[in-house]
Order: sequence, then structure tokens, then C-alpha cells
Amino acid sequence: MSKNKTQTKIGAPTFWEQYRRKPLGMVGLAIVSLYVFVAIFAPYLTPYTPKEILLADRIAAPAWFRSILPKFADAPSSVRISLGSQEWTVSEAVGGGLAPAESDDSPLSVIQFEPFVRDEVVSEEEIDVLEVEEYPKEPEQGVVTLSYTLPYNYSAPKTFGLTFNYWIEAPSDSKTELEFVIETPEGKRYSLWGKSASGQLANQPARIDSRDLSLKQRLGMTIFDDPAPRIFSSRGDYSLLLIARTIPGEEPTRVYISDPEFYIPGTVHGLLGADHMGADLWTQLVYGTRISLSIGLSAAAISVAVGTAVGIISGYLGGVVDEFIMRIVDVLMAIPDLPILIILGALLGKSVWNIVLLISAFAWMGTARLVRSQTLSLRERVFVEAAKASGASDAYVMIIHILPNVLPLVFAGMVLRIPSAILTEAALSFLGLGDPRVATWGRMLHNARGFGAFTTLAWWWLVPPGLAITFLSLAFVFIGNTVNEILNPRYRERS
Amino acid sequence: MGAVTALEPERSAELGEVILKVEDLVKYFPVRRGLVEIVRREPERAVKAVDGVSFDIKKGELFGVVGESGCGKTTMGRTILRLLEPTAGKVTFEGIDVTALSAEEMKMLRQRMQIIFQDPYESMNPRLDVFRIISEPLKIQGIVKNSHDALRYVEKVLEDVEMTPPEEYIYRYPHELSGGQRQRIAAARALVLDPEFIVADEPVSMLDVSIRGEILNLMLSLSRERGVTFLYITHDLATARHICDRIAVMYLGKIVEKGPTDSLIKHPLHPYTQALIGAVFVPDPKKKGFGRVLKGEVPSPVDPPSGCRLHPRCPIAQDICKEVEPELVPAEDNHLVACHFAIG
Repeated sequence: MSKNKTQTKIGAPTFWEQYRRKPLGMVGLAIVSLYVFVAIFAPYLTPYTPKEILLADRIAAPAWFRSILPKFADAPSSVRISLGSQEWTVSEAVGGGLAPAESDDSPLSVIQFEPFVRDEVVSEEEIDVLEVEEYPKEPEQGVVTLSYTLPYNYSAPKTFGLTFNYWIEAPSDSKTELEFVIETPEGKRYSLWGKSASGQLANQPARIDSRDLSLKQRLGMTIFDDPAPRIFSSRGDYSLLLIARTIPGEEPTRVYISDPEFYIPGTVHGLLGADHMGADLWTQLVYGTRISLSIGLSAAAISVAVGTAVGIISGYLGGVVDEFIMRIVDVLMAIPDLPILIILGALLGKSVWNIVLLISAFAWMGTARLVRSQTLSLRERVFVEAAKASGASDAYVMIIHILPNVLPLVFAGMVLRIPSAILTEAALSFLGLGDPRVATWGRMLHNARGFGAFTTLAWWWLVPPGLAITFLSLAFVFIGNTVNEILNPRYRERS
Repeated sequence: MGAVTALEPERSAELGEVILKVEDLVKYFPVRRGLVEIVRREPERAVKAVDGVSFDIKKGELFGVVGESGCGKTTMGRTILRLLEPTAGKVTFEGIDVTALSAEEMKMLRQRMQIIFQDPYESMNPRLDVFRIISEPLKIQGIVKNSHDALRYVEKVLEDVEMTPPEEYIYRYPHELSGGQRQRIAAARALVLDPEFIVADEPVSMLDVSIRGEILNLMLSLSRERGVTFLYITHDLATARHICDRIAVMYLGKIVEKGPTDSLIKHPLHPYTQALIGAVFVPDPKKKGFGRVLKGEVPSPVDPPSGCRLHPRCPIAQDICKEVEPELVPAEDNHLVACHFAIG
């Protein structure tokens, strides 16, 4: 009869009233709410997406290190400048210039050179008049230099780069040369890239990276030298110079420079720094909340649904069915989870849903046993017999009478199963069996281990995902234990 | 029991034809054997809960089955309704062989045969309200299509069991009701299908004495006014005496005495019946003690005594009782007894 009394407390308001008084349960709920908030509003909490890479230098430290650690005091954060036609200033223009841009923020700059005009073959009488003029002149070289002033007040970066596309429209008798030069505040010029062409040139990309061997050779450095620290060794205004030279032909020459982007990856970045690919770690952490929560919730829901169904069927039908199911449960329980998950994960392929299904497939047995034992007692209750006396079928009794009475037990079990699902996923991801396209906490830890966070002591890469997993799991355990205490008071001693 | 006594009907009510006929009903529960026992080929054993019971009930009759706890009376009631499958024997309800029906046919028949359970605290799902509890049989039997139709039935049956006004109770949960109210709801659930036959399995044993009378009166009026036939199972001879037309006394899975209430109470023939009657409290300060009390405990139904099952405890047992099982034979008109030395 005391059983009845405890079961009647389940009405929604009374449950909440009881829950409210449990401090640990409320702490758990607050933490989980925070995670849910982060998961829902992830796009608003970070300006990047987890797929964006090269946002900063590899293993960049958090930006706020600058204000607390002298080592990082003037470390550069990422400099990324799009050099549209408005950004350039023309510092030298002989025989041509920058064509007016189509719009204010056009990424396309067009350098236009005047055609070389040979004196026209004029009429006979005019030749007479102009007899004494010099004739014919060689075409003069036209030079246009586009420059951009880059103030740089940080310690030396590790790398830098420039990318753009270019193409040339020119008559076949013209010769065009393009060059990219960086001029230091001291006036020293480094020519980093050059290209010469006769006549037309189709659209092609230019990729300048300070780590390129060809670039080092061009600068007369060995492969062990690092151009970036050498070039950006001092502070002040650097000039980025794009120089176009041409020997014009009879038609105008146009050099098109499209989408140029100059990039110095920062050695400090964002809230939590960057990983080995220059992806933002805070973004990964925030989006990882989504994945971890959804994996945890769905794996727990699936495993508990399966466990409940199996447990009710097994316990209610009894006999051979029960024996058979329970022996399967015994076998599955005896198999160690992680090794078999590793094998199956490798066989089935790395996708988030595979992982959810795998985790669920090896997590339902506990629920099944719990529900079965409860069903064994419930099916002997008189209200079940009363339903049968009215002609109720087995399915009816299981759904209407058994299921609602095992739900409180199952609900607490489900909450407690969420952290284990999250941890299993993290373990699988850490072992490299996670979905490589999806940022999860386990994957962050996997990358941290695999790409040098331990050797470089990049604790800002290791600690946040670890703490995130710990606190979320802890919060669910708090909630689960509190729910258990309220709904299933017979288990109180255990928690 | 004043209220009941006041309503006591004339027992000579004319009763119709037989509605329920039970012939040699047997229900054994096999005892699970351990591995060692199976290997040693020890014989399978069984709890002989009901061991060859026969009787018939007439239409509109209130038939009482009285016995100690564990004598098999509850098992018998459930086996008759096929809530338990009988091991052997035959139950005929209005000419239909209940034991031979398929599941689908049995479901149809359940509209006509219902049961009221002993424990009103256990017999209702605590998660359902009164409306859903009472309308459940209607829905299972497909009598109503939706809750709106069911409401009419539920309100009427609540009035029948004197839970008025129905609106006050209809959306309550079992834990919001008293024991007596719950047992009325349990009765309402059995009555909502308008059955002809109801097994009332100790419907008042869990209730306070003060509210037993209400439930018993309810059964009486249902029996007298609507012609519902009852099989009233109880361990309390006093209540059986007050409402039953006929009483059967069970001991260890067998009926030892059966007869009209008056005759059985006033002239008990079987020593066991005599002991039961002797044990009933009588509110008479001059009367001391319990009359003739049986010695010892009820033997295990797994291994009942040979011959007459009462012989180890019987005050008048002779050698024959250990060997020969007495038949249930008529001693007087309609009054049958199973004893070699039945004494008047």
C-alpha cells in the first residue's frame, strides 16, 4: 500500500515541487540548461563555423593570453586584408593606371596601360611636312605600382601569405610582368613573387606562402630559414606592393587582379585559440555541445526505448520467450562494450548516426533487465488481472497498464544513461572512430592528442573539452539521481 | 452487520435454472524443480490448489464458498473465469463449455462473466482515473467507440453503485477515494458490462467492518433486483451466512460440505464446518471460548494427507479416514457432506 502512495506523487506539479527542493538536482538542471542554451544558440555565440580553417596559426593561443602572459604580450592576432580596388593606392604610374572600379567594394582591380601608338602612316604630303621628326620610337615601358600600407605592431609572425587570381588581356606583341614586393619600414624590399607573360594570359591563381620552398629560394634563403620572422622583424608600416610592368603593344593592356587577400595567421586567436588547422577551438567547443547533447539524448532515448520494450515483452510473456531474451541480454552484457564498439565502428563507417546506433545497441540491456523485473511484479498485480477479466489482450495490458508503471523507473535510468552515451561517444571519437566531419569534444581531444597539443603544452586545447564532458556528465548524474530519489524512493539508499 | 440483517431476504426465493455448472474442476500449479531433482528423475510435484470441485449455481442465486486462506477458493474463482487455465474439469456457463472456448470467444463471454477483486487498493491502476477504470471494459469489448459514449454508461453505473452524484467521483484517482468507495468503483467496473454472473472474491475482507455492510447490501440488491448471479468467495462464514442462498465449505482444494445456508449453519455435518462455525465471534459475553478448535496447521497442498484430507486434524477421525477418501454425498435435502462420520 505504501507502494501506491509513492506512485501517486507522480503528478507533474508535485514532482516539480519535490525536485525544486533538491539542491544537487537544481545545480544539475542549471548546468544542463546552460549547455542546452549554448547548443541552441551556437551560431550566435561564435562568429565562425567549425568547418572554417586557417583562421589563425596552428595551435594559436587564446587572445586573452596577451593581457596576462608576457610571452604573448605582443603576439599577433590574425591579419586578413582583402585588397579590393578601393584599398590600393597607386604609388607609381607610367603609361597607365588603375582603371576606375565598377563599384566601391569591387574585389577586382584593373590596371590599364595605354597602347603604344606608332605614328600613323599619314598621307604623302604630310610626310613631307613631318620629315624632320624622329621616327619611329621604341615603345616605352609602362609601370604601375599598387601599394597598400600595412601597419604591423606585433612580434614576428610564423607565416604569412597572399592569394589572388589574375589574368591579362593584352595584344600579342606586348610583354607584361607582375611582381609582389613587401617593403619593410626600414625600406628593405623583398620580392616574393613574379610572373611575366607575353600577350594574353588566362585566369590563374597566385598562391604566395612564406613556407614555400620556391619562395625561400627566390629570397636566397635555405630551406631551414623562415622568411616570415625575417621580413616582419620590426614594427611599423609595411608596404605591400603589387607592381605591373608592361611593354605595350598596339592595343591597350589590362591586368586584372581579382580577390587578393593578404594573410598573417595570428599566434593568438579568439577565446580558446585555434587547432592544428587554424580552426577556432571555441567554435568547436560550442558546436560540440550540440553534437554531444544530441548523441547523448538520442542514444539514451533509443537504448531506453528498446530496453523498455524488450523488458516488458520478456517479463510479461515469460516462459521460453523470457528465457531466450534474457540469455541474449546476458551474452550482450558479458561482451565488453568498448572493444566491440571499436570493431563495429571501424566496420560500419564513421558517421554520427552509426555511433548513436552502436552506443544504443550496447546500452539497452540494463534497462531491459530492470524493466523485466518490474514487469514480473506488475503482471501479477490485480489491476492487470482485472483488465484480463474484461478481455484485454496482452498488447493492451502491456501498453496501458505495464508501460506507465515502469516509466518512472525508466525515466531516471534514461537520464543516467545520457552521460555514459556522451562518454562513450567521446571515447570513440578520441580513438579516431568518430565522424571526422563533425566537431565533437571527443574529436577535439583526439586532434589535440594527435597534432601536438601535448608536446606544445597547449592546455587550452585539452582542458575545455575535458571539462565540458565532465560537467555535462556530472549534471546529468545529479538530475538522474534526484529523479530516482523522487520517483523511485526505494533506490534512495543507493544514490 | 445490522444493516445486512435488516435486509435479509427470504431464502426460499424461487431460483431458476442452472447458470453455471462446475464439474470436477482441477487446478494444479507445478512446482519448479531444481536441476538436481530433474537429474534424479524425481516426480514432478504440484500445488493441488483445486482438486476436483463440482457444484452448480442457479440463475439469480448468491452462492457462497467458504474456507480458510490457502484452501483454493480464490484459485477456483479465477479458474472458473479462465483467468487461470484449468488443469482438468469442465465449466459450463449457460450451456457453453467455458474451458473449450478460443481466446476470441472467451473475450466475448467475458461481457457476461465478471469478477470483483479482494483488494480495492490493488485492483485499480493508480495511474488511471475513475472514468478510465470503469470505461476500460467497455472499450476493450468495443461497446463504445469513444469517451463521449462511455460517459453515459459510466454515470449510470456509478449511480447503480450509489456513488452519487457521479460527476463528483468520475475524474478522481483511486488514491483520492476511501476503501469503501474504491470497492464500489471495483463493483461498478464489473457491472458496467451488465454481466449475468459475477465472482465476488472476498470483496469485503479488506474493508473496515463499518463499510462491509454497504458492499454486501449492494450485492444483495443487485442479486435480488437485477437477477445477477454471484459466486461469493469468503473466509468469513458470518458474512456468507447473511447474504448467501447456499454455501459450500472448502478445505484443501475440495468441497467438504455444501448446502442451503440455514441448514448448513444450523446443522453443520462436517467436523471442519463445525469448527469454522465455532470460531465465529458471537457478541455474547456469556459465551466463552471458540467451541471446538482444530489442532495443527493446514497441511501443504503439495502433498495433501491421504484419505480424508482433514484426518490429521480431525477430532473424530478413525483409521478408515486415513485410507479412504469420503465422497460428497447427500445427507439431507440438498445438503451434501464428505465425511465418513458425519454427525448431525
